Amino acid sequence: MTVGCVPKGRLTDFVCHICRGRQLIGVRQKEPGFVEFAELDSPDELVLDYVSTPLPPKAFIYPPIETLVRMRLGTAPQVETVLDETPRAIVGVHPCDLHALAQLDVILGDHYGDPHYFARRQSALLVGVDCLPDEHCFCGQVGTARAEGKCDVFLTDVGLAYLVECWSDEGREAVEGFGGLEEVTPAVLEAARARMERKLAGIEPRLSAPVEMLPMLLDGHQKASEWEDVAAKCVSCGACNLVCPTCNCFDVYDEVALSLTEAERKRRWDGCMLREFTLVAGGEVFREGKPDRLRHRMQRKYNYLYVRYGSPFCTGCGRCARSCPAGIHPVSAVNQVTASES
Amino acid sequence: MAVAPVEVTPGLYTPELATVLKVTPQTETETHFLLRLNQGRSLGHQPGQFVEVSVFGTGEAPISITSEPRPDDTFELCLRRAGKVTGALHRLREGDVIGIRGPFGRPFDLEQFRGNDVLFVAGGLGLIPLRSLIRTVLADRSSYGGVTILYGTKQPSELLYRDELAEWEARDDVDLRVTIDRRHPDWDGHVGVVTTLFPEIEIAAERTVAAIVGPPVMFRFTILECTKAGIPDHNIVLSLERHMKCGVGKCGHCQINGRYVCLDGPTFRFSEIKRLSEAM
Amino acid sequence: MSAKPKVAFFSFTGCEGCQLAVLELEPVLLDILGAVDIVSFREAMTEHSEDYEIAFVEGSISTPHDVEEVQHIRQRAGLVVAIGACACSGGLNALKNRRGMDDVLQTVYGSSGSWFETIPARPVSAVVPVDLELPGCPMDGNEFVWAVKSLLRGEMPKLPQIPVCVECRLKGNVCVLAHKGKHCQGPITIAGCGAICPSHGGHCVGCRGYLAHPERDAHMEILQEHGLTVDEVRAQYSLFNTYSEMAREAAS
Repeated sequence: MTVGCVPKGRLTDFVCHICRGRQLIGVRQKEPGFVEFAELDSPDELVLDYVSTPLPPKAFIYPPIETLVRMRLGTAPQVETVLDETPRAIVGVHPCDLHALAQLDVILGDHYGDPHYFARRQSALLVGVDCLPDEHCFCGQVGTARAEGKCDVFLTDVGLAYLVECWSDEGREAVEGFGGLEEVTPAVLEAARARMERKLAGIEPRLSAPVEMLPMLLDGHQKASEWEDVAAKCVSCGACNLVCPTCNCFDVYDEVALSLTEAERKRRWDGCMLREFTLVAGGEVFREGKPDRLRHRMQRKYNYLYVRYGSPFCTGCGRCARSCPAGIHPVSAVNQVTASES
Repeated sequence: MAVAPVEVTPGLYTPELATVLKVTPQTETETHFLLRLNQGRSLGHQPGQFVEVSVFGTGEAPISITSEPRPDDTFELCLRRAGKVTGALHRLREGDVIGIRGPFGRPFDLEQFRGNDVLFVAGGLGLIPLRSLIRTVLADRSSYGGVTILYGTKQPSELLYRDELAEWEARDDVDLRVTIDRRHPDWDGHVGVVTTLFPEIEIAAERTVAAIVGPPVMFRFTILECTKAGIPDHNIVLSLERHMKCGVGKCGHCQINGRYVCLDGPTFRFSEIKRLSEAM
Repeated sequence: MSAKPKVAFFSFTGCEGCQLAVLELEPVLLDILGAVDIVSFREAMTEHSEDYEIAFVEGSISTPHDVEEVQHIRQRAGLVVAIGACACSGGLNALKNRRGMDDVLQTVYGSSGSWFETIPARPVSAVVPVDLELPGCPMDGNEFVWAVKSLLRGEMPKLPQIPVCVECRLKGNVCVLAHKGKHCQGPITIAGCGAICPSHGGHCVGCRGYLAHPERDAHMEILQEHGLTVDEVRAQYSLFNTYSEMAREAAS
């Protein structure tokens, strides 16, 4: 629901208003040329006109390392579940990253709802913002360019102001009472439409087949040998996994206090591109070669989870491509493999 | 917010406390544990399922349940000392408290076995998960047709549950055959890998369901024997082993192609996985 | 292991920076002292005892005397833990190994070179069996604490075979290789340092040694694309890892 326009000069006031009583997470300058999601000291730091961040905003719903359980050790051990229900407002989330959270909701909610993820998820107010692509973005190819309904408040840059839409009751409550909203004119709506058009037109990486075809096409390319060429330059650093907004895999370990009487069970993001990922106690590694691992990653994103849950588990955010030391782009990889004879 | 309603499982990763009631060494590297949950609830498992076992401060490992479901609330695990957690488990004594999550995983489908001949094939540690199903079948023996158990290990010293093997051997409604991979001074029984037992048994393919658990190479050859005997793919049931780190389909470690061993398995009909390149 | 194991620190060829890394653990140092009984530690105490269960050994082995002494330590200690790059991989000291030892002595000591004895620098594990290696220049204090806790619990710690990149990405750092196009040894180097160098504007120099299964060829190709010659890449690999690089060259 469109509720009005915020002149850019009043953006800080607006953010202060809608985020009242919440920890403010937003995009800020990290170092020259790079921005990041972080807890902001002040809404003045907020950057809304940006392309991408090294880590997705997922990090504030599903942190890189988190404590799951606190344990008291000894002959009469005790355990206590650790949940983080801090109310947060995450401001400046792009449509791709909003889709990513919706996809994580599906996988982390399937069969068993992950309590640690949903504690943060349900405590967070999401404020989305539209964007323009760089050469790595391909949201338009995987159906994530628009994110209607996937956040509480959504902002679109319409020149001198932001168009404000509320997509949930919480969003409406957050905006309610803000005095500085201006009327939405036909010219504003036209500017918003033109901006979306510009976004879609600016997307360069093109899948050679419609994304709906990928499960079927990739099914025919299960041999590691078919992935050797695209994986040749892979250094198995795991960056593509670790920066991915939809990757959900994790490792679990116990961390004992020096007193040796207490410990925390933690989880840390893990990645299927790392050799140790499939290592079992007996020493066997189930996906030993990097072509096998790259095959698995791509199949998982565009085939396995697509078939299982009904949408590709890639949002076209381009982070993996930007973070890959070898410059492997998922679109090129998929195009190259599916173009070859199976 | 802006999140679809989800049923959250509050203590998904929080173990329940369980007490070790009895420790029975099986071999040099395998130990059997009798356990009970401290809360007094029954584990409520079915044959083929597993639990995540915690040694607090050391970590967690997926372990097959080796006991049959029974009314007294106790359950049994048997495990090899292989990694950090299983190493610590081997240092447990009676009265020690550990953590348990589960049971997890898809159990064997008893309906599929009922009324049919059952062929159990266990290689090495494969007897551990299979024992739960064997004991369940033997506890309700009249509901099943012929029962054949083929069991092979590398050496005589690796044979698990020797007392039970003797009991099964003594029953006239069970055909137990045990083999050792290579000739050994302590062994005067059958020698050869487990598939060399197949020529000695008769299989009525149209009413036989095979349950196979063992190392990957044993799967391949045993399935081949079952197929040769005419058992259809959907009546060959396997239990696969991967590192089910979370047990609940989240951590990704046990994925084989598009399947999660912890959610979709660990028991699979061969027909479900024969086309999965990563299954075997 | 008894409730309070006796622990000794020994130093061979190196800068003693790893002993300093232990002393820098001020917030938890008292806890460590409470959990173990330190009987020998040159950087911090004058007393010395020959009765110890765990020997933490710093520095590379680079004289005949070092060899004898580390063999003596091995005989007395239940556990030998090599700490720091020098002890784990030979470290920077091994840079001299590519030259003749006489040449090295001449360069360092001039005409007095003949008064000294030196041998090619080597990791402790090249001389005696080592139970655990905690690499890095210097050793990472947090990793040291983690290892001590495991040992106190009677568990042998095992360093995960994951690259520095994992810790670097988890920190949200901008990637030195991919984003900045500069060189970095993160992808082939064992994690455990918290990616400290890339986190502070630097790049990974491989001081923790390389993974058991490094993607070397791919990494080398990327560095070359970033403008390094093959020789320059090899020089980078040799900075902290001359000892293993020379073994590799000899094997191929």
